[in-house]
Amino acid sequence: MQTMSAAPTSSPADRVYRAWWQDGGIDLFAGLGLVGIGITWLLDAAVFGAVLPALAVPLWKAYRERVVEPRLGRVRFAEPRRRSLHRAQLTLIAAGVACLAISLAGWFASREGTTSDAWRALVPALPAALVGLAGLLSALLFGQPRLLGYALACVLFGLAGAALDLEPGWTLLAGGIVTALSGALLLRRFLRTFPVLSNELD
Amino acid sequence: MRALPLDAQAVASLDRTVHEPARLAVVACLAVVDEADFVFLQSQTGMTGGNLSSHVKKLEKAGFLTIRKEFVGAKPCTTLALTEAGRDAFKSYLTALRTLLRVMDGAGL
Repeated sequence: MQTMSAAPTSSPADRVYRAWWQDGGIDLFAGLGLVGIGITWLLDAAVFGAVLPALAVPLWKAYRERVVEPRLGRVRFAEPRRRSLHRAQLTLIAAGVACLAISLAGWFASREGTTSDAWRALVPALPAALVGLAGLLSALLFGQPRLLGYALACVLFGLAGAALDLEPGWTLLAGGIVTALSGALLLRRFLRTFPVLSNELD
Repeated sequence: MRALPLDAQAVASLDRTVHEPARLAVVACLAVVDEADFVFLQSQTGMTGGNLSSHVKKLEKAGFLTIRKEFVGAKPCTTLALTEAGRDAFKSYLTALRTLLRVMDGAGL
């Protein structure tokens, strides 16, 4: 059997749904996105990081069509699952936009010197902590427990960044690298496990 | 503890078309989705294209699933979905299996 392992206690629908997300693409794209945002932040052009999610959407679609679907196939989930997936995507986009807005607001506020010292000390941790929150949300919405690990790593990087008084970009970069590397490993395993299959009935 | 008599009716009522392990895997996979393509079924069941084709055709012949063939760009795409009869057959199969399992549990196995 080529199926990836899953908890035997979960329902068949959950197992099929999880298998659909276990190629590592979501991790790789999210990780590279964070790396991109971290770099733009370090280059003092954090606003440009906002365009990265918009660029990622068509790339993600092309990736699914060219890499994942020839190996894993295409499935139309039952109506309740489709509705929850749609809600999850909208929630995630809203959470992403909110995270970016809050991070930028915190960063600008700290630069203008209108905030307290305690707040300024926490600013480096803020973007990574918010990304961690988004990761937690994603883990719950998509039923992917490994995203909790990335969320925790982002929060820890954020706190370490605050303790070391690093630019927020470094913490995002670190979180992004961990997530992208994990995604790359999962993708490598996926490509080895699932060959390209014919979609034609013999 | 005295073993309960084996419910022969429950065993006999297991649908042979669904009962075959490879076809059971196909039906179980399609039962939890609206429809899936041929590649998805191969990846989820681990069957080869030829093996899966023969089982899919038997299920189609029994009226348990529909096969839709189309081209997406230049590539052929085969989409499969359980019919109402297929879903009903799977539900009946599960009911019969549960009955049998209850009897066997009662036998202390």
